[in-house]
Amino acid sequence: MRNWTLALTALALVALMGGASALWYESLHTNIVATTGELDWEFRNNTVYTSDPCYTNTGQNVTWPDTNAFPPDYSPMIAPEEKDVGCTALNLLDTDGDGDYDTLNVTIENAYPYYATEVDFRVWNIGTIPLKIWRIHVILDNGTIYEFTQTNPDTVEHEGLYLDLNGDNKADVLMLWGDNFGNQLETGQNADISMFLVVLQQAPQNTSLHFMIGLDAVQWNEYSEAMGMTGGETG
Amino acid sequence: MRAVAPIFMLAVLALGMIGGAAALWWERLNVNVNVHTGELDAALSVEGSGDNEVQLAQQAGEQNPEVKNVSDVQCTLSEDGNSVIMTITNAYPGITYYCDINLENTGTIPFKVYSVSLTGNVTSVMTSDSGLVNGTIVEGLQLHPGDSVVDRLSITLTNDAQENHQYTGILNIVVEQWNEYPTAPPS
Repeated sequence: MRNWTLALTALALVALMGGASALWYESLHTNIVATTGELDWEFRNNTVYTSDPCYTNTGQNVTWPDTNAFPPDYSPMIAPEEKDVGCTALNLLDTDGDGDYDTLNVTIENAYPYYATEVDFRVWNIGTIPLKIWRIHVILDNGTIYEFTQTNPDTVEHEGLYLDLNGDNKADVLMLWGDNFGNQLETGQNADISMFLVVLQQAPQNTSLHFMIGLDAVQWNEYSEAMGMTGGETG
Repeated sequence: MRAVAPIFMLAVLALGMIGGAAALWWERLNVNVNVHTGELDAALSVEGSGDNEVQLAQQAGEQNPEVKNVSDVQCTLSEDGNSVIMTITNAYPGITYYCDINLENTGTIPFKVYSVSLTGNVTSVMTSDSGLVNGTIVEGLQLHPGDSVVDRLSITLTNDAQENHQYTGILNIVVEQWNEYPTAPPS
């Protein structure tokens, strides 16, 4: 009887120990930290130019002969008698305060019919992933949007886009755009883009006319997907 | 494995929903274009007026030449500033009446004079040396903003002029932007 008591006691102790230690096992962990990159590009000082500047880089007034462009081919030429009547001012803005220039203001002063100006600028990929130059939206103040991509560059590249900016059904400004659509910029790389503007005969006198061009870049690996998208104004 | 498959499918579904909402990454740069157009504007003004009645009387040895001052010429500017109105009263042949007219570029871009013309029935009774006689306001004349020039509009009637008759005329000066001269402006 005493032996049975000892045996039961021993069994109970073993059972208690077994309940505490259970079986042998080991956990492996995979910690995932995804640090995303950034898609970002910018304009830069001293990489924006015009054929007819108002000011030098130091802000001094500058006298520079106007350029004119007459129909039908609108080839640029020095204005008759090399006059300096109008001029083009360029200003860069950081509208979102993130430290890089995201907006280029082009202001043509004292414009007149067939005054023409070329604006050249360079865009830089300052993000951490490659980008592709996707499209432009030419946005009028009345809400009209003209979209151009690699698939339909001819109008804006060769024929010119005639813009009625004051709603009188008469074109006021002719715009041509040297595109670079589809070009890829690796981080740190840049591309040159140019724009040609001609004030047309029907432009009203003593008037401020405005339009905006949204220049969009997209992550390089979804460029083909982006080409299937249309519309949308904000990025 | 049975537990992993539903979790994986849920994760794929969640990613798909995120992708649908955020779409791809893209960024916009803006180019704002502002075109401030200038103005083509010209204005006339009157610098003086007169006639040569008294002068002719003096040359003729009149004792009191002032008594020969029987006709009159007035030159006034129209309300819109675009016209000079020359009014001659009691006019008669042989007397020269004149207005000194100032043409000024009051706009912001240069202009050139496209045409100068005098029309109306007064032209049928004017001597050949009438019209703008100083030769300063002529076709092709260019004025830059702020510049001005004076010319003399002179009217001398011939003996063909009828008595107690009213003759009228309009001097038209058309200016146009300098860089399209001599393209004809729209009619």
